[in-house]
Amino acid sequence: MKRLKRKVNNLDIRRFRTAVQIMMFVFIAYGGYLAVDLGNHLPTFACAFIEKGVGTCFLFGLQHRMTIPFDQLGSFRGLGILISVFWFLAWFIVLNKAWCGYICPLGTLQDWITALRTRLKIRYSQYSGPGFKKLGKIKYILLALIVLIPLGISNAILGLPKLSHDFSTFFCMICPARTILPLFSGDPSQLAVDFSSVTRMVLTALGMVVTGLFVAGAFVKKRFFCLFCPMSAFHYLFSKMGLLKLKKNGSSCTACGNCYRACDMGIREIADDVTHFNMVNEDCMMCFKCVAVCPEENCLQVTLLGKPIYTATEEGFHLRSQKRIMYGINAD
Amino acid sequence: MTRSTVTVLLALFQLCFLLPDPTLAVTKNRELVFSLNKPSSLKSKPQFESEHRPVFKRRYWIHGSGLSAAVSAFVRHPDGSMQDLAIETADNLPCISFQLRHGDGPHHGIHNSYVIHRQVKDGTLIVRTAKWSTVHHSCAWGHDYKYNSSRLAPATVDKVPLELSGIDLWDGNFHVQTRSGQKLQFTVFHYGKPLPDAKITVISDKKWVRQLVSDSQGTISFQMIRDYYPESWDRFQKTKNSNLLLKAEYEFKEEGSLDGVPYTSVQLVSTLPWRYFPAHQDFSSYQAGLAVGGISFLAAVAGLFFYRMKRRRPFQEFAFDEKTEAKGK
Repeated sequence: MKRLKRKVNNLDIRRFRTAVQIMMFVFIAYGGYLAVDLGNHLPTFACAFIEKGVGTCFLFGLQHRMTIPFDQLGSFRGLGILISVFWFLAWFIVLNKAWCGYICPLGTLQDWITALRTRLKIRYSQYSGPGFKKLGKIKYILLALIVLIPLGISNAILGLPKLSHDFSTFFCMICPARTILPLFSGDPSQLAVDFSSVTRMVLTALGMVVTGLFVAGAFVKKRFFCLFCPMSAFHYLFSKMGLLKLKKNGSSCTACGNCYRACDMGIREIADDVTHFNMVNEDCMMCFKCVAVCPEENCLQVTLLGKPIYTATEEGFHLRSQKRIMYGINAD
Repeated sequence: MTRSTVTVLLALFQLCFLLPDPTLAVTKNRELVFSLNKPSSLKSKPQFESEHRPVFKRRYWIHGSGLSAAVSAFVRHPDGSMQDLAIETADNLPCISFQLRHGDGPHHGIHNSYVIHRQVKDGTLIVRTAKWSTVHHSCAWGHDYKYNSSRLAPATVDKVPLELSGIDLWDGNFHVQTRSGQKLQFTVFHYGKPLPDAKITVISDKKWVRQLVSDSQGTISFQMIRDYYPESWDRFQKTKNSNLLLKAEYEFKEEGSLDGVPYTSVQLVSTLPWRYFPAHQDFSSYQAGLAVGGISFLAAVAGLFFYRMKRRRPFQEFAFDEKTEAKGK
């Protein structure tokens, strides 16, 4: 058991993660060909617009379900919303926010764009501290709109006229997953602007604007879109219930800053915060690169049901340093 | 003359002549046709049920004259089970109705309703069949059956004398995918077997008529026309539901009797109402999409480039002179 634990702690998690990401990307994009259907409550961007996808993103169904009159919220239809959240939790609870770091196909795509940039030796960008905090609020605004806009279709909120049904999946219309992921199954149809109504035209054109920004942004900023992702915000609401956790022993931390420099999301608290135990931040995607670059014994730990499964060790750190696997601290 | 005056005059004209439905107006009264609308009403309801909001009590009105006692009606459910139906009368008009169950179960899928009427007239047995194909589905019930091709395959019933059945009318998610410009395929069946040489007439809302003859496999195919041209772009509806009526006819010599009345020939007539939507190309543009995406990408790249250029500090050589420093002190 000790040998296995040592082997895991010495693991090159970057390779492990890349392998998992490739497998999950293929599974999500083409799993339908194997007649696999994981349902409509997946806590990741398994886009509904992929024809032979393996399941559907929870946010797609949520927008449909929230198109409900207020007087029906207490009915069986309203209960359906709670049931769907229950199914979301059933998927989410084990992996917690590792859905972002290991499974999300849009995240994987951004990592591939980053790999391309690294090969081209182009410098990456980081947000400033205040800029990071301000931009991070966008995901909560989007999440609120995902709930409020469908409600505004079925109800006259604050005396305002009801919204057009063309808004029913408004976030999907502006989400880059809708425009990009179907391309992997040979379907370019989502790249078109829909002129059937002014609302659809504006939303689909906005979707293409976001797609352009996504590609350019992901090229210079690691995990560019994740900072604005409403799914990440929704995850964070339930992340404390997650069985998989990232923990920090503040007394072992020397504040060397390795973890911050390795973090693709640029979360400063991972290095600065020595008082909190739970390190799963609202922007954390649980990639565990921070654990791999931590030189202090047992300082950072990944736990499942409270049991450590991947721990920062001096030996692991030195082995990875010798192999020059330093998770982007110096290279990019 | 204003638009509203024209509309009122048109409505008055329709009321006077009681035109029930544009599609039905061009068909002869010889056949039976199912409709969601009452035969005497003006087109006030949608012509087909929503595929997203399932209706649990289904009622279809029967258009066509001379319905006598020799009528049978039944529905084939998606699980293959058959349910016999009675011809009902509501508001003195003939109709059929049946109840469907909620949720992802045996009633989730495509239901085919039939009315078959037999009558001997002038020594000819005339068998009129009306068929209505509809889906009972809610996206909330899931799409687990999408991989079960039998749920979406054209269903036929062995006891139906003449039947039209569409091929690939629904996509894997149970949504109708018939659009203008698309090549449509239907098969004609005679007691469950493909029937060659049957005459098929296709009639659209706008009275476009196409006549075809089924091939050796009993199949016909045709490209659906585009006949939706709204007055202006802002009136365009991409979910505009245009109607189509398919009518199959087949005649052959056969001697026999029906209720003691002899006949020497048989004439089979069958109808299937269907609908089609505007083609995607009518309301979407890749060029516009790629242009918007491209401009957005280039603007972002240019913005980043100039931002980095602006932040670049020119190289400045700094020479430290110990003597000057010392004098200054």
